[in-house]
Amino acid sequence: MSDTYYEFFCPVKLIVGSKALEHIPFELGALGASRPMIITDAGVRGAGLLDVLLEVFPGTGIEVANVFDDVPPDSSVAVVKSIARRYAETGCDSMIALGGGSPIDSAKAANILASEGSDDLARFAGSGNLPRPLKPLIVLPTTAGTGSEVTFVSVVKDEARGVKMPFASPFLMPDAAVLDPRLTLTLPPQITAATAMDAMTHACESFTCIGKNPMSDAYASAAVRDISGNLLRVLDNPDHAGGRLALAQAAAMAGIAFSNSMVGLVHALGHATGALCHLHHGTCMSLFLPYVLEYNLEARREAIGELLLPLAGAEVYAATEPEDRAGKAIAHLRWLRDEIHSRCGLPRTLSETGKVQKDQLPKIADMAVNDGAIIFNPVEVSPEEALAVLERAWA
Amino acid sequence: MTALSRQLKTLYVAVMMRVVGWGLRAMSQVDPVLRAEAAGFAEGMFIEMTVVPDGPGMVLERLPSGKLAYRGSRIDRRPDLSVRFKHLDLAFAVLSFSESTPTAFARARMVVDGDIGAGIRLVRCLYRLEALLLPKFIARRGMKRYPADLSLGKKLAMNLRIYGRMAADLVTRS
Repeated sequence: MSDTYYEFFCPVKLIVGSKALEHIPFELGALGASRPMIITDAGVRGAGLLDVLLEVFPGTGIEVANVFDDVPPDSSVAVVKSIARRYAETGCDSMIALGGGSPIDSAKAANILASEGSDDLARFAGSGNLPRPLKPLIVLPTTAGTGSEVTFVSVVKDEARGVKMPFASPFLMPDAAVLDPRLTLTLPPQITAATAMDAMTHACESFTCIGKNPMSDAYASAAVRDISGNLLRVLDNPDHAGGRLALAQAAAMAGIAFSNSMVGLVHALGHATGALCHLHHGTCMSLFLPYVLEYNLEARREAIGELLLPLAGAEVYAATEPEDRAGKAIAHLRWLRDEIHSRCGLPRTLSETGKVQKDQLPKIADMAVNDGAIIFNPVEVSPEEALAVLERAWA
Repeated sequence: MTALSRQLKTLYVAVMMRVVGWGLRAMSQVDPVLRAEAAGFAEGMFIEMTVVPDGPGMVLERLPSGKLAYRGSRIDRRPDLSVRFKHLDLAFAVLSFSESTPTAFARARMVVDGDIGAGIRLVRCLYRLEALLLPKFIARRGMKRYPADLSLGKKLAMNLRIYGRMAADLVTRS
């Protein structure tokens, strides 16, 4: 009898493509909401995306009750509380998160407080600590990477304790995610590349870590194919709406994949590096991915080899001997990393980032082995082994 | 599952929960590796491992000294870290080493509530317990990698100390 077992869950409605934004009023109505609060940041407002969104509401019976456009790059408890307070004061009944990871995570966490009528965010931290469904939440990602629009987690910085507070619950999944090509057209090249490599890492880790399953593999494989096929095209031609939408879709697919099979050592290292050195998460992912795949190679040679097909295409895959495919897949990711660097300067090594000191590496390694993602890595990792991977990524 | 089979499994899981609780308590006193891991839990932290809805369980408390204290099969207060198996058979599979702890995590056989970093630390404690107390061929089924530096001699010497400590704890009821 096969001992295969897995669970797969994604209740998020995806609203994708041309004029997707114009569907939001109808979707809010279907959720029983009429006074949404929009949560975004100054960068998104500055890029004109908030105006694009606000234009879809007049005459629809939906009144935007409040706009909170001051979410900082690192979401914090104070900001989350402030959003929840304003939500209550202005009689809102739903939330729309417009932005990258920080506005989305802030909205998810603020929705906990708004729905529970509480001011104590720490009470709900950790896994499975939400008792009931939350208020309606629609997410509009303006970066194509985090996958936060389809995941059940939120991470908020607790400034008082100097730690990141994670929240995980199926109730954190948004009711809908809207992927409209207009939302990512203005994304600068380096952020486009870093966030896309974040999504690439979600997909690759989902495909190679111990929680992999046939459903998450299907999403992960499609995400790898679409990122590999569109990222350089978009960097060369930033106005390519089709390529932008393909990247946004790929990020959502990778998000669905990893929230059902989890991620491993690349993320453990990335979380620690981000916390200690404030290096952009997507940049960390791009840096660490090839080295971690090398670290996991012997335990996962077959799965890594299968990645060659969506990464490099059928002709390269067919022309490569099965035993060489894993090595070639990793080599392709290195090539992609170098091509990205030549187009937009995304760092290739930790030393190139200029934000990490070499004497910080042991501390990053120690922190990484206590990260929640580490348990899903196919190979056990000691602090010394994590350090060795970091040193390989250094230069 | 027949009533008898269920009773036997409940008994086995209850015994193993106690072995885990007693073993980790003893190891936090005599094994330097486990002692360092245990000291990493927050002071005063209550850690629970159980089977839903009211199956066998065990509770540990991290003392100010850094050691672990066994607090019985359940507690009245909300634990700081809770690992709850979704079914008796799922707990039996892990505690009989037919399914490894990381695989059980990946397959969502249990619900982990509380600090996720502490959950990872608990898993490492369980690895250490399996590596030290079980024969190598069984222990390897429960973990990703058996410690390369754990020779048979080292293991037997540590076994003596752990079982001696467990016996002493039983006698003194500490």
